[in-house]
Amino acid sequence: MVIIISLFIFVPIHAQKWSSTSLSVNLTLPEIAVINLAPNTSTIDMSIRPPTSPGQPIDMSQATNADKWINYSVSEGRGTPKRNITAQIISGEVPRGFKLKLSAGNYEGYGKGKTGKSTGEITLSGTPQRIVKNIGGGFTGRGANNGHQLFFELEYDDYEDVKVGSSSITVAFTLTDN
Amino acid sequence: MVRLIICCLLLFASRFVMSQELTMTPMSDWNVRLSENDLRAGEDFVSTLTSNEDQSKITIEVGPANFYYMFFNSWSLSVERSGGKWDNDLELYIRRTGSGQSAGFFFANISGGESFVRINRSSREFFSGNGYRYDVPIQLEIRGISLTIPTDTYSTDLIFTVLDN
Repeated sequence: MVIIISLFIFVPIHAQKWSSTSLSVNLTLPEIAVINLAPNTSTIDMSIRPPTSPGQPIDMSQATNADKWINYSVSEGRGTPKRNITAQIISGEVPRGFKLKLSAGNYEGYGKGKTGKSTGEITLSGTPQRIVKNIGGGFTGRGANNGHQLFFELEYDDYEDVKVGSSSITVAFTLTDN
Repeated sequence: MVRLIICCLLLFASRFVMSQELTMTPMSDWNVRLSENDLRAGEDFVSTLTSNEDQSKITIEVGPANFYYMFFNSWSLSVERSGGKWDNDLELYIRRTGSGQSAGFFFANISGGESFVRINRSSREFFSGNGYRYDVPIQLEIRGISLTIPTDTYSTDLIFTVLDN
């Protein structure tokens, strides 16, 4: 009996009432600058062969390599400068009489965002030089055929200085913001 | 007759102990911080991040603690996004991953909100039900995360509003 009466008393006939509460969601996207070589960082070999017949120049057909690609992922803050990729020799020396040239191809791949642009060919040295410029927030895609293909080429500088031997060189690639 | 009057007075008195509560436990925000460890060179961030299934729990007590309100009164819960700095490419979703507990009777009902719904600046119904409902677990999801979004800390408030229908 009590229950029945209470139902009659308290069935409401009034306007909507409301109550609120809140919860915050915070997402931090930090500065990112990650670079790597694809398909791997293994050594590449370039060789120079003697002339095939007297009076011919030395054989440079094996003195090029285009096996490597640069992959990168970069984030960009509002108003922060674009990034570049530099290359430099950090150990070893180019054999006397030769120059080691490098250029980065234009961007290719499944990436997205503001990928960089090639600066053209450089002659590698111990000083960092830009090979890719104007990288904004974006990514290249991962693996070979994504990013910027690297074209290495040995050129003889002075024929008289060319000597038999071998040399091992380490080249470092760096993402910079200047 | 005296006992009946006393009972009615006690029930009537409960109108003055208005329970009009919408609470969340734990009252913890969802904080996500990505880092370089979350990707490899050439990759983008994973585009979707999902919170724990019980990131927070919602308790809804609409009306005074009497028979009608605890077991029958219908209500709806809406959600919207408000304030803060938020990028247009970031999408925020919510769903409930369970029903919580009712006040104890089989006729208490809860419906909707089991699939992710997008939270916008305009209010939309999340789920609805009858009677008191305790500890309904909710899960959040952010979609559209990418390196193409400028680096920053993005934050927004989710406003939950219960309407007494």
